[in-house]
Amino acid sequence: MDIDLIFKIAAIGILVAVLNILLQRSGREEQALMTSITALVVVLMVVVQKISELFTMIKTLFGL
Amino acid sequence: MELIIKCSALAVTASVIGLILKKTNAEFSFALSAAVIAVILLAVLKLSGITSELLREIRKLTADTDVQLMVMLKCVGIAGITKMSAELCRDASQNAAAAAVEFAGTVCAAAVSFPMITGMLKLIGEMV
Repeated sequence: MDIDLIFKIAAIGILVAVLNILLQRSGREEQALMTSITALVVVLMVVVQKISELFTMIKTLFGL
Repeated sequence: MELIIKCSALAVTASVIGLILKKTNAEFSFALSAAVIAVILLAVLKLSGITSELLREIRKLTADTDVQLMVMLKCVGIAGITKMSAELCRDASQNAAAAAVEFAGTVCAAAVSFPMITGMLKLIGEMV
């Protein structure tokens, strides 16, 4: 069971939230937005791979 | 089976973390939900060794109803994927997308069970 993945995503989310707040408070809103989008893309790439693995397994198991 | 305890613990922990992330970054909360679903279902489906054996035994006992068993299995798979995707969309407040996925699932299940329905109608026709 890939429990580490969940905690990695949670850690990235909290880190991005903190960075967002810091960048917005120092008046760099564009950089805050870029940081959020970059981190989201990275997280989604990992999540999409896992979901793809899940769908492949369902396809094999149920003969779809 | 400790698997169910692990799954429950993971789901509850991820829900709590998701609540914290929702306040600042709702999109990460969504990504976390999707990851939790994928991890839990993969862990559960990896018990498929037991399921395949059961299916083999059922096929041996009901040799001539193999087509119906495959149709039923496909419908179960379609239902699982549809339910999971629709609930994920609802978590992201995208009810229209969820409704579209549910409709697609219904149509796919109907398409998959079409041979069984025509077989049943032929049988009824022969009886009448």
